[in-house]
Amino acid sequence: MTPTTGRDDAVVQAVGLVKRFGSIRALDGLTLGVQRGEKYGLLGPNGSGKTTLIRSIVGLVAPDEGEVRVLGEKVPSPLTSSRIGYMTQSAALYEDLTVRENLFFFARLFGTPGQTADRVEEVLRLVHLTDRSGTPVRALSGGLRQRASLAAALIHEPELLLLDEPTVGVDPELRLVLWDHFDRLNALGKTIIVSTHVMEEAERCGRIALLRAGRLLAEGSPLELKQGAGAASMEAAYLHYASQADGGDGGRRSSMTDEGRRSSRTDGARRSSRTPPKGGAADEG
Amino acid sequence: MKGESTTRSGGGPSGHGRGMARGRPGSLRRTGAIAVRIITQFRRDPRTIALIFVAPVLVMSLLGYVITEKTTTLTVAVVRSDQGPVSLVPVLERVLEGKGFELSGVRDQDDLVARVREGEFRAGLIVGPGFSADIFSGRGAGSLRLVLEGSDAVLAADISRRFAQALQELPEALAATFLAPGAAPPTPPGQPVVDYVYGGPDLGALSYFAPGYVAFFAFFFTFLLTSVSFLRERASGTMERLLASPVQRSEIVVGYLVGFGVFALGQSLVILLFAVYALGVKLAGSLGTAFVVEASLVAVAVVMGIFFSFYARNELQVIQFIPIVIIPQIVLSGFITPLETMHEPLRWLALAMPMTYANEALRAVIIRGLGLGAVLPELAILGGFIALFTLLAARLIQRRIA
Ligand SMILES: Nc1ncnc2c1ncn2[C@@H]1O[C@H](COP(=O)(O)OP(=O)(O)OP(=O)(O)O)[C@@H](O)[C@H]1O
Ligand SMILES: [Mg+2]
Repeated sequence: MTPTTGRDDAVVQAVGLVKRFGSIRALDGLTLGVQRGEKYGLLGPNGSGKTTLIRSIVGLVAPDEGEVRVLGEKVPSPLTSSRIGYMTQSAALYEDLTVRENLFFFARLFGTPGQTADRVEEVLRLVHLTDRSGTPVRALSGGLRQRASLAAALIHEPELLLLDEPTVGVDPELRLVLWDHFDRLNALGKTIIVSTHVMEEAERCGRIALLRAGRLLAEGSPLELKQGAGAASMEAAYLHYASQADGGDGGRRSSMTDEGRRSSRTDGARRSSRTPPKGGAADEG
Repeated sequence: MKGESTTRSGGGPSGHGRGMARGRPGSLRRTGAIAVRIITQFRRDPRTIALIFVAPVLVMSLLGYVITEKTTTLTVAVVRSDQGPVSLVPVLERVLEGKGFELSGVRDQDDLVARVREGEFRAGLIVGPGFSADIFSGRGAGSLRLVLEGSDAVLAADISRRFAQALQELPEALAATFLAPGAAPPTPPGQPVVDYVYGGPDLGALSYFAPGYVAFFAFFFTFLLTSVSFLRERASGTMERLLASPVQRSEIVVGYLVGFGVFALGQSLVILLFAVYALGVKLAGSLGTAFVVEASLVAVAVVMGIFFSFYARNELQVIQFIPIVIIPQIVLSGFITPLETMHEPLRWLALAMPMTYANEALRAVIIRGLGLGAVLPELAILGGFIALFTLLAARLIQRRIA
């Protein structure tokens, strides 16, 4: 086994993270830990710091305060990068190369266990892209791109997967397929950190961090969070914790509702989730 | 950079652990992956390939055509007032026609000057009364007067150069006409003897400019293409992916060097061969040495392209580097005007530009036929530029992470 993870099972340990972009605090004193083998969700509205948090775990953002440890190493460390799979929020691939060529490229960058060609085919099968593998990325639809991007993040069999809104633009059916796949990877012992806006997805995580304005509102299993808030839905729970953080003034509505409405435009699966009525932010009291 | 020295003993390639991703073999593999990727991307873009290989050839043929076009016939007014005894004017006119002048007789000197002034003729020739007598008695061609219109300095210079050449050939033509075959023609009196160390009077303008073109095209295309390519890497987010991978910054830069270098060197080879074999440019030195110089310049262009791409947010802003980075190099590198005739401050500026050294070295090889040893100082300076911009670019890559 790897010699670096001796003391505890924390795969990611972030302590007191602060990241400022000009006057904006993208991360504002964030502390959280993710254990080995967890499926950990990051739930928060636009601009709440999900991407910034993920990037600081990868080592692409240097926090102004605090530190991140990944697999026991302080980030950034060249030791961890080959063990992390990072799926960026927008499918970052080479447009003029085919899916297969993209995968081969990343395979050579990271190094793959076993034969590169075998691994590429394996990942292609995993995301159901085998028959489109010869298509240039430029010619792929949004959802197909997203799948190709996921394949690139999986290519080197990383033990920690960081997925930044992996299912945006993916149709509901494939979304289920992908989540089933995440479950399978998780069952194989991979740690997964996934950011999302979609409540149903969040509820499939073992634990969720509710984020707002770079701060942790609450953390726990979906059930714990709902029970703690006395809410029936994840969305209501989020609003409860948000208003609690605002000092209980229920008048100040969180932007999560706005976000929920915005994403329902593009997001087929959102239709089913119950968006709370306009004034219903503080319905628990 | 950082990791290279520490592991090597790292337990071998067991699984996807830390040992495998670092050390030398991994470094080569990653650098190679980037280079291969760039080459594949190029292959997907036939228009850019055409631009790289066809555009310089087209432009050079055009320039070659324009430059050699100078020998087209030019009509010159002439006043023939020579008074013998035996008129040598027909011989003179034959020689002049051989130099591309067509002579059109006018009334007298005043008429000639007036018509040149009005722009009817670009030049006029006055054959004085004593022309033939002077030649016979060995007093030279002092009774000839050339009147130039002069508003086009290049044309005027060209006319007087051709005129001087004609005069130089005159004694030989006279000898052929009047003396027995085989007799030595008299040297024209008053003609200085000019010896060329390199080149010669028939070193065409194209041959003189060829080294500059080769340098310019290689730099121009390589710089722009690298810049745009690297910019896209940042804009599309693939840079994030690269930086999240075990790849080192130096490996990215070297991968780009190799990937773009392949095309840039192919381009240089095409330009050189085309210039030499199709356009008749004289290559005094070896192609190989010219190539080494070219390779160094191309490498400078790649690392400068990466460096400057950080200061552009989109492709349009890359285009803005043409007047900022490229044109000054063309103007100041000695491509157009020799460094020696520049004002002092400009000369200092020129010395800060990589193209100046490439130009100098390429001229030494192509025109003077010097070997690799003679251009080592220039190559060393180009190497310095490569090191400098590699460092700067690598620093920028790191800074943009944070
Ligand atoms: N490179 C950057 N420069 C300036 N501001 C930034 C940068 N990256 C992020 N920010 C700011 O930091 C805040 C957090 O951004 P972040 O991308 O982490 O949010 P997010 O939770 O991922 O949002 P979304 O759901 O829209 O993806 C935002 O206000 C954003 O504008
Ligand atoms: Mg984001």
